[in-house]
Amino acid sequence: MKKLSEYGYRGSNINQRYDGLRFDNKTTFNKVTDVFHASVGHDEDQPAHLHVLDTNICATRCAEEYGNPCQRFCPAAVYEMVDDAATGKRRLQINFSNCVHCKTCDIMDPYQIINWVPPEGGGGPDYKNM
Amino acid sequence: MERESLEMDVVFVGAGPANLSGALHLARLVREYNEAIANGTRAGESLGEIEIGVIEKGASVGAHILSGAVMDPRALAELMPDYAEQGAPIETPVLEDEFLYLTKKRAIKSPITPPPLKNHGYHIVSQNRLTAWLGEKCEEAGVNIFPEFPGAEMLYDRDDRVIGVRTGDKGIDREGRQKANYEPGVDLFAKVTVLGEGARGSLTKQLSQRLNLNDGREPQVYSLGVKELWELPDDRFALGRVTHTLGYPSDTKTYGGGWIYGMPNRVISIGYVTGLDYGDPLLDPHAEFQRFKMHPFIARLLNGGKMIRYGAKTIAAGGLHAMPQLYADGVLLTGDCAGFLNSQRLKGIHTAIKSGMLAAETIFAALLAGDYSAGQLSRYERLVSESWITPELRSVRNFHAGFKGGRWLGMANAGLQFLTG
Ligand SMILES: Cc1cc2nc3c(=O)[nH]c(=O)nc-3n(C[C@H](O)[C@H](O)[C@H](O)COP(=O)(O)OP(=O)(O)OC[C@H]3O[C@@H](n4cnc5c(N)ncnc54)[C@H](O)[C@@H]3O)c2cc1C
Ligand code: SF4
Repeated sequence: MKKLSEYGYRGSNINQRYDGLRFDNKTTFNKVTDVFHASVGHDEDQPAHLHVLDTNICATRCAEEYGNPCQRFCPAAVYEMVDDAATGKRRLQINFSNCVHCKTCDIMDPYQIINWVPPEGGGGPDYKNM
Repeated sequence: MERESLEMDVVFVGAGPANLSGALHLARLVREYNEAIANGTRAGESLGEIEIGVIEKGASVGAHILSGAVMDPRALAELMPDYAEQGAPIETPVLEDEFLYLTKKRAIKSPITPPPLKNHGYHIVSQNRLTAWLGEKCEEAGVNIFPEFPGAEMLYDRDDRVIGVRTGDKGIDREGRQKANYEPGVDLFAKVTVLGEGARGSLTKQLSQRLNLNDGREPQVYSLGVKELWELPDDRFALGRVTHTLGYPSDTKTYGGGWIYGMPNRVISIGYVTGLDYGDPLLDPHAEFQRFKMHPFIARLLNGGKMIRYGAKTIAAGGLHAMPQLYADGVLLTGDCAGFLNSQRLKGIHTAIKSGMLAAETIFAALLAGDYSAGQLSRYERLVSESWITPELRSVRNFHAGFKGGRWLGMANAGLQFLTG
């Protein structure tokens, strides 16, 4: 993956690539709606099974260089940059219970600091008839 | 609470088509051998009872399995010549093949299907169902399957020989504290451990780093497939029709392509594959798929239909030269975690099944020899190189690389222009 600057992007607004993409809930769906149809389940009271070795990089170097691409390459809306009310800064939130075990993050993160490990047994999608 | 341990002969990690075929084939080889000894048609000593276990992280066999899928039945027919009579869940034979090149507004139909995308004689399957059925066949053959047991760590002896696998703990809360239902993972000891974890296996990654199984190999290349099942209001997409697309919405530098397969009851499998060697940091594979569905040709097909299922899974597409060493002391790698998929045909079920069978033959020979060393298990690589897998994979080895430079798209484009005049 190359940096935002190499593509001449200003910031990480995806309209720069996906102008006109909309989710009409008939033909096209956002990730959260789609993931609902993967019947994913994880016990929420367990440690996240996506180990991010250094989350400081997220709000600083990664935001600047790549615009936090985990929010895009993950097909299940697991990674989300949010404003932290306590610190007033941006931070990475990991919605691990959405994870469909595709392993994209383990492959794609540009700093190679995401490590996918199996969650508690039985957690994950239910791909009936898929 | 004490950690439990269990001694088995062979442990398969991951209940996918690769390992289930391996476990089934091994159980059968052992049974046939023991029977031959018992009735005197073969000399030697019985192997006795061989304990074969399969652990799976999903809640049931098949729960985490997602595929297209058009299956080349070659390997399943070798595993079980009467698979149809045995009730293998085949949705439909492939009845029509279609290859489309999408421009922004149009769908150009190729008058012929490029040979690698021809699917005559193949079956459309739900791999979730096929795998669940293979799991039942394994259990009938005496294989123990343990769903809800993820392999969390490899177990090694002092000389880095693999001696089994440790399963994940249960009942740890978000802060890492033990809950009331806490149960430590189980140590499963085995003579041979077989990893069939699918693309980018987490144990495969640990193991190959520790034992340098990727030394001298090309880096693995991955794609991500995003898929939905749709129920259509009428028969507008024929049962048994297989459609593949190239072109829109992928940009010319990105490998990408769509599929639509016609299943029974007016259900279609529709999805889009994006090469994960893309450059654009704003690319979103899920958005690529949504754009694919917004193409006028696809949108018309889906109009009035209902999306019923969703999922996504990666594919290891690097081919022969990206395959790791397939064995080490006490361990073998099967299926997608070892890169057995044919990326040109986007088909890995048949090679996964075959790799599992060859692993079983290797383990059977090791049981007879009482030797589980890397030297003995290296027989597996020899069997793979002598089987039909190797010529099949050799013929496609630079396919993905061609896409990367945008050349294949150019080529397909030129080819279609030539064909359509
Ligand atoms: C979108 C898509 C479309 C495809 N289309 C086709 C097609 O049309 N035709 C075709 O032939 N092939 C197709 N393939 C490829 C095919 O699905 C794979 O090649 C095949 O599934 C590989 O089988 P496997 O047994 O190696 O791994 P998988 O099918 O991935 O199974 C691995 C199993 O191991 C389990 N597991 C993983 N890690 C652990 C662990 N640590 N502990 C316990 N369990 C674990 C997983 O939960 C899973 O059940 C497609 C793949 C994808 C993703
Ligand atoms: S494995 Fe796939 S679904 Fe899970 S967090 Fe990573 S990218 Fe998202």
